[in-house]
Amino acid sequence: MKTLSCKGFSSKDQLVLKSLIDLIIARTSDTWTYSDGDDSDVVIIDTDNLDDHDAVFRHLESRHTVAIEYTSDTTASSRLRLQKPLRAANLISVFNSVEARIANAEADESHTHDTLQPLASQEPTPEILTALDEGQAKYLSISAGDTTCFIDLPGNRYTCRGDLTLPAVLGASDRTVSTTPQVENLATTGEWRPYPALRWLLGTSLSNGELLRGINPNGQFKLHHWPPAEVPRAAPYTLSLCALLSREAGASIEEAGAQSGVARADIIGFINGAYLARAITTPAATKPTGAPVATEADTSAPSKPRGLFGKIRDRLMRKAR
Amino acid sequence: MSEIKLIITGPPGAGKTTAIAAISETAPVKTDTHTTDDLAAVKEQTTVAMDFGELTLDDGQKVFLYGTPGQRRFEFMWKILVEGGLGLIILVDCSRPDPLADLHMYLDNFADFIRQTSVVVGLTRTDHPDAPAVAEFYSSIESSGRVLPILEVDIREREDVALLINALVSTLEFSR
Amino acid sequence: MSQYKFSERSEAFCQDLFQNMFDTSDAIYGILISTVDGHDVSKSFSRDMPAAKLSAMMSAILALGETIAVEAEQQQCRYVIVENSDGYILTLKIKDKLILSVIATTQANLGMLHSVSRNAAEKLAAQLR
Ligand SMILES: Nc1nc2c(ncn2[C@@H]2O[C@H](COP(=O)(O)OP(=O)(O)OP(=O)(O)O)[C@@H](O)[C@H]2O)c(=O)[nH]1
Ligand SMILES: [Mg+2]
Repeated sequence: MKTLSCKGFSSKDQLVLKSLIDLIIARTSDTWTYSDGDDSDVVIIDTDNLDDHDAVFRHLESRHTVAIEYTSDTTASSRLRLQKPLRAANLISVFNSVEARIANAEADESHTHDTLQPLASQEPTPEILTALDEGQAKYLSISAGDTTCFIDLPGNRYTCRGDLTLPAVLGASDRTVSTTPQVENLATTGEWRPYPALRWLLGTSLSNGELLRGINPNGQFKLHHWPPAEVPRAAPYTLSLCALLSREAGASIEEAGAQSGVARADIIGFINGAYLARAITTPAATKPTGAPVATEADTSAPSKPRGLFGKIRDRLMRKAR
Repeated sequence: MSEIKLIITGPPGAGKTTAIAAISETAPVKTDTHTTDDLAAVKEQTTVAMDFGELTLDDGQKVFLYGTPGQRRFEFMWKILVEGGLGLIILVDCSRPDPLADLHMYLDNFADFIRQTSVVVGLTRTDHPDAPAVAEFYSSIESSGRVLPILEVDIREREDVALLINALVSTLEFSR
Repeated sequence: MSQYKFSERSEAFCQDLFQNMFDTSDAIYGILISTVDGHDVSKSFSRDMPAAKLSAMMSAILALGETIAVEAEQQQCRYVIVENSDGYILTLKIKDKLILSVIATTQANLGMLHSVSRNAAEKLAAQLR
């Protein structure tokens, strides 16, 4: 049993956290409980609300407690981070990393904090996706529990053996992913099924926060068409991304993060999906001059998030004239 | 507190009245009458003035949904109903003879309103054998240079109506 | 386009009735029968007015009147009246699928207009079955 507490949280965020923890217990290999005590295994710190958060981090690290920052800041950081607003998917991926940290710490008592990677990124899935997309691998095989799904990417179709659905397998924390030159026992998996949302879902579920090979991360991404309805049905945050990336000028990853509050890893997963679905224009490759790329996002001041209500006010003022 | 008014339009039978009935918290206001022309073969009732439904957000904010009549002779109601609206949902019935032309008819007629606000397209009855693929809708609007959300939905399902409203709100918030 | 259409006999009956109404009051200058879903079926106008458009609008306003009555918990909407500085427009259901609209100047007495219209609607309902 691992315990978790938080510091600097608003009472609303604390409530959300507690209920998400309840949900997550069912999804991860470890069991977590929320504790109000002082000596929990993991502490999540709302760094936006605490002035002296550096000191808090130092103190916790000296005690070998895992510290996670919780913030709306989207600039890069070496800390474990939960992006605001709190979302189950982010929490799960951060917890996967935390479990890896704790497991390694237990295995290696002389552990220091630098060697550990988030568990999920040990699956080299973006490479696998690129290989499939470029025809260097034939089929993708994904397994979780006793279910195995085979995906024929060029055919936009899949087939499964077992009780779980493809989205369930994609979302499972214990899934394994590999490529295979042929589907063995096609007879036992049943018919190939067409699936228009396939490429999008592979992007959103298998990217582990890494862009596909060859996609330039710096510059404007512009969406040409929205994904099939299953994608926003499964992941409502994609609606904000669709809207942002549909702008005439498109949006950079940084802009999309700052304005929508969606975690960077989710933005990247979405972009990968859109790329596989041929629905997005990505920034032109940067010139190999070695000069640092001054992206628009770096130079322009981040625009203020405009809530729906700001829009309504704008609109009402426009009408009143 | 300000009001949020959203409008649903589209050809007769696309499901505007059905959508509002599916999602409204209160009993929807309907102005459906008997159909007395060709449409009677498709359905018994048609909207002649408006549909109305409402939703309350967590903070008490109200969202009002107005459905227009679909038939062209009620065009005068379209202008009345969009007044003060924040966004438009166009439903397109893919079992009709020319769904692409239907979409363009409504895009043209609501062009002024769309220019000032936002639009989302919901495709209904997409299981019809002659239904055009979503990609055909996208390529037919490509020349306008705008990326409109086009989503296939079952308008009888509350969730799908919510998805369209959500897409519209996202577009209002982030796309403009 | 299949549309609601009167037989020749019914149409003749209507025109007779319209003439009677005009004779009763010279304030009346337009009489229109249309379907509940907004198609014009029969009319007699002594001034130029767009019958097709008016039919659609009359069906909309009558449907709204009936809906408003329900919302306000009142029973059975009988008429919808639009009263203007220089005239009245009065609309009522004839029966299930038809509505009657009478357009008059302010010279008309509203009570008289009511009774002429109600009378005509009853005769039409009896004739057109
Ligand atoms: N079988 C089937 N029926 C559907 C589907 N979507 C909608 N419908 C039906 O289609 C009809 C739509 O009718 P309305 O909601 O009255 O259409 P409307 O858009 O309000 O039409 P007007 O008011 O005449 O402009 C309803 O009877 C729905 O149940 C679908 O996917 N499949
Ligand atoms: Mg309707």
